[in-house]
Amino acid sequence: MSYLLGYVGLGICFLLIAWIINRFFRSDGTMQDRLTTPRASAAFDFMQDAVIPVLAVVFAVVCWPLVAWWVVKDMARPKREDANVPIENPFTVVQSDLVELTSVAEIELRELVDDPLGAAPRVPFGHLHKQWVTFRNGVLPGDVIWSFAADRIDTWGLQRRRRGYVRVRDQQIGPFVVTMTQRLPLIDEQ
Amino acid sequence: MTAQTPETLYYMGEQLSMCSEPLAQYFTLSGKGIPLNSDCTALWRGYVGTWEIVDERLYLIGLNGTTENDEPLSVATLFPDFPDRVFAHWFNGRLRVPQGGLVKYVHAAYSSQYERDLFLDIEHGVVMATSVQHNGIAETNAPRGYGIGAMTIIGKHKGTPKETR
Repeated sequence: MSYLLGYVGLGICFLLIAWIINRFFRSDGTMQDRLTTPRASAAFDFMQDAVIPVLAVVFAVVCWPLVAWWVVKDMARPKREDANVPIENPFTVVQSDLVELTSVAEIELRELVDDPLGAAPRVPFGHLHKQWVTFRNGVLPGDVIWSFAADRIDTWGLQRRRRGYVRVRDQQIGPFVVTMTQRLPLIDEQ
Repeated sequence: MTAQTPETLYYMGEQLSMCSEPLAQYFTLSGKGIPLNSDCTALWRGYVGTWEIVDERLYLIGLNGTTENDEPLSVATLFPDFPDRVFAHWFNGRLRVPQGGLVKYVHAAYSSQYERDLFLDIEHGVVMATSVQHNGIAETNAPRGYGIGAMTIIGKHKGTPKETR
């Protein structure tokens, strides 16, 4: 019995220390937690304000070694400032992505944007014309242009499709311009 | 992650919440980005766009947010020559518009389920197909329409939390 009391006592001490550290020594002092439940029900409020905190306290007291392990593991984990920004491996066009040999004239005819409400510049690629011009300026006599289509898995495990145009010089794949990017739907989204 | 504030879509005379972000593709394709104040966990992208479908074409007609320099964001910030209306010809993909009562609240991204999802499949800014997916029946007292249960306001806007609805 005394072992059990000691274990629970240590759990309560652990909880108190964790609360004091969180309350007084938290580094992100500008953070302000605010809950707004504009359309939530009374049951949701009760869960948020009563049930979850009580369950958390009970869990921390009973399973404090596990919680302590989580805390240590979390502190040891390297922090990344842009943790919310998905990072994809640099995209490159490879031989198997090439679709069709084409030309500047063909592309500019095909990709002309013409909006009846005049809400886009009437030029190839419309609002993305500048990116096209940058690409086009890098095309020299003797270069060839291919269209490409590439499906890749990004670092989130999602499949992304890209289409665009790539310059090939001396059979070497060079700079490219991506003109369409689209995350492909997951199976249950189709 | 917190449930995210939706974009606004005007479609067939209705104002709808849209759980898709067509501007993200523009930022990717153009390589442009505007440093924005992202001081709310329910709005990591830092802006809310207002969209409209006219004659099956998708247009950006409004943009709300604050730049890193505390200047108000507008359509003109991104498209100075088209301050009122921008044809989203760059967008390819599916727009999701949740409708009806809340079936299951998930406090992450746009994961909550509503009775119906209206999908608009867009190619080069033009609506090619629409479909409706039924996800179940909400309880009688369930909230109707898209909503966010909670959020955290960070940093200098302390004391003036933004409401999302």
